[in-house]
Amino acid sequence: MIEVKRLTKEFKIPVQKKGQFAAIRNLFSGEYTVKHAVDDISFSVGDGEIVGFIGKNGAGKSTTIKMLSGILQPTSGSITVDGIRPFEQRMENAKQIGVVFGQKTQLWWDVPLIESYRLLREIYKIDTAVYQKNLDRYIPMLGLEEVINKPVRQMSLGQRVKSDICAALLHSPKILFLDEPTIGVDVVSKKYLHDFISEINSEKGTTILLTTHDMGDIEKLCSRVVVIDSGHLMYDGDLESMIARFGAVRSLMIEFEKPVPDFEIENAELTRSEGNRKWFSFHRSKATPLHLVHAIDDRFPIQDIAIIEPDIESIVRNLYESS
Amino acid sequence: MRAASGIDLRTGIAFLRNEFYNITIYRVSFWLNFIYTFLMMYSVGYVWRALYAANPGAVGVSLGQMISYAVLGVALEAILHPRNGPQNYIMEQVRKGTIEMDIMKPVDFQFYMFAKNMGSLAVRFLFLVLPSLIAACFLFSLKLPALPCFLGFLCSLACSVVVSFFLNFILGLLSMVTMNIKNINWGYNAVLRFFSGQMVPLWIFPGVLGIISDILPFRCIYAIPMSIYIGNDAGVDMLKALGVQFFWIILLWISSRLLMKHVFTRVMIQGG
Repeated sequence: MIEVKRLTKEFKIPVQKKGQFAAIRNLFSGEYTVKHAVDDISFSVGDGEIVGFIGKNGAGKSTTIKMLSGILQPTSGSITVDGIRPFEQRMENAKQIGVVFGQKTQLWWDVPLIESYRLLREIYKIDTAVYQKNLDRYIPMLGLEEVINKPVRQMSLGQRVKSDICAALLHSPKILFLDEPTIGVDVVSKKYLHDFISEINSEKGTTILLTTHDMGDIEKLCSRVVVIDSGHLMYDGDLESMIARFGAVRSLMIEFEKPVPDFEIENAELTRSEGNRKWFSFHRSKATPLHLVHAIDDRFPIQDIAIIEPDIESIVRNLYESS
Repeated sequence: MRAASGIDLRTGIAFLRNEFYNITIYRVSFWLNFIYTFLMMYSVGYVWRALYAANPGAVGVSLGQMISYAVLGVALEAILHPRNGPQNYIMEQVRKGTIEMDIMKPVDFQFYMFAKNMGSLAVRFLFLVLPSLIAACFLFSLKLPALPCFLGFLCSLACSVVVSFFLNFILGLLSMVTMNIKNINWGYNAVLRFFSGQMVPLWIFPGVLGIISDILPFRCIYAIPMSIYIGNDAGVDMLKALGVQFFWIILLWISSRLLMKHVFTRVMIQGG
């Protein structure tokens, strides 16, 4: 569905002068530095996949999404989105994709939501029956009934993002780009969004490319992840093997019946100690929780235990550090 | 090709509806505008009356014609002032970083801005200009011009709206590069007011200023339709004046398309 080959994007950033008449000298200055926002990235996304795109701020995620949407011209490399080259065939591409930027809205600020949707129907030339069917389906699913007559500027962030996602799907796009859709969204709305996104994906087979900082999004939605850092591709593969490779260290929390002194135990490391509780970290291949609990229980009576799986954030951190 | 760029009447009307909401939402600002327009018409009418009382032959047209001209100048400014142009929307979108969302839509950007602008213009005309014009008509007992003049005026007004749009659109594109619109708008409006004949009729300008105002496109916006309305440009003069407007429409259309392509390429390469 999406083929990206050796994609590179360079930005020329003008060098800001300092000192006297800096503003005027800046006007005539031709000096600039080159920044590689995306550097030689290749990946492909299959029909109906949900792929999570992870990376730090400024890693090049949004730049890639913009190039896939056709609003940014690649410096080199090639992109096809369902056979269409996004930049050269911007209009054709626009009709088959839906784009949601969590921090930006495509809706008109001052008009009631339904009016924005009506306008989109005209812009995208959506068939009336399709438009009505999509509205009838998505509005209750996203809980937009109460805001449908409200202008966007009066909405909460969660409502706005949901409205934007609905807007992006009105023309039944084959591909949906979600750029940080859950940023700043509360837990309840987030759950709505997760359920909605997976349902759209399974029901309509919409291919979804999702960038996020929220590892909850990745765990809930994506079976495959692409990690980039400073414009380079760091990892491309399924979530489970990433966890196995970079999330091998788990933690075990043990609550003792009474306070005990710090002690050492084979194959695990004491990382934290607080009142009756102690935390140990251990490598997946070297120890099992059961084995550790037995070993510890022999020395001090245990009241309670908890196994803490590594969160994706720390996995990604390991991934960054490993390179 | 047309359909591929999303240019058609239905889309245009949808934009118009949308603009109606945009304007009616800010009621306070709307009523302030309304009062301002009416007061301006009232005062320019009286200023010209006082001038004529002191020196009847100075301007070369009758007092009735001059008052019609001045009142029309205020009325047209209420819809054609650069602050109502698309450049402000463009700048705001650039500042918010949401201009990409506009460029991304499968509709020609210039048409999109034009349709949006026409929507706001139509709403302003119906609710702002028309009531004040009717009131001014009674107040100064203005007469409607003869039919040929009036038809010529309507044609000329349509051209004026298009010329004004193109100039505003070009400023909007420039603002995408300079990241500033307030100063550009302010300077543009100062030049526009002076050289367009909106406040002072161009035919009383002395030699050099007259030539400059003839060369510039600004008179297409106010002076030409208003002169046609009061019958100062009639017959062959009217056709000539319309010809000048057509010429500028073509020239500005081509140059704005070229500029749009250039600016978009720049934005799309630089990422804004």
